[in-house]
Amino acid sequence: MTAFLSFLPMIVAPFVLCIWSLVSAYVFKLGVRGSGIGFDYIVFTLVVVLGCVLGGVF
Amino acid sequence: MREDDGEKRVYSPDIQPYSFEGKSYFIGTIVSIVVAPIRIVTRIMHNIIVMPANLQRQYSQGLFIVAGLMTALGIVDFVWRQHWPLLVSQLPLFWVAYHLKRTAVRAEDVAEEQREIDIDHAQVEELINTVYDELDKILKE
Repeated sequence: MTAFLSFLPMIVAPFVLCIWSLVSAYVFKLGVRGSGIGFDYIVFTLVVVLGCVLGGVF
Repeated sequence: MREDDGEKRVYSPDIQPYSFEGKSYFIGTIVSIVVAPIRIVTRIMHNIIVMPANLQRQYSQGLFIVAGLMTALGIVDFVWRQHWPLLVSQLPLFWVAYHLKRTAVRAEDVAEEQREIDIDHAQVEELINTVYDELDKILKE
């Protein structure tokens, strides 16, 4: 179980990073109301970066 | 009457309801921090699914740039620290961007073909009058 949990970030991270890139491309290219660079995007980016750093992905 | 200047302007609906919008003050801020990632991901994923062709083309260009930059960082991370997830996560996005661009080009070609129609002047007048009649009815109600 511990071994699985230690490897879990490496399984989840590619999916999360994939979604982050899809969202970032939309935000930077087509940013519209509610989906541009703002509070939501900053929090989402921070959560992804923190998760990846704590999970040992970066 | 609006002139057609050749540019296709398409409204991209953002119909995701704002029901997730939190209240202000301390509790609201905490709730917003928890909800923000879910809100932006659901909203943008929905918008990507319903995206019209001309925006798909623009979006695919943006996706190529983002995926390219992140792949470059992924290569650095892989060579420097032997971490693979960043590099691996970006590879499918090139296919997604290519697929979106191809879909957009096909849709724009179809739209271009359908722009010219054979219609009689009298038929056009009749059609417009029908629309005005309907509008009059609505305004009177």
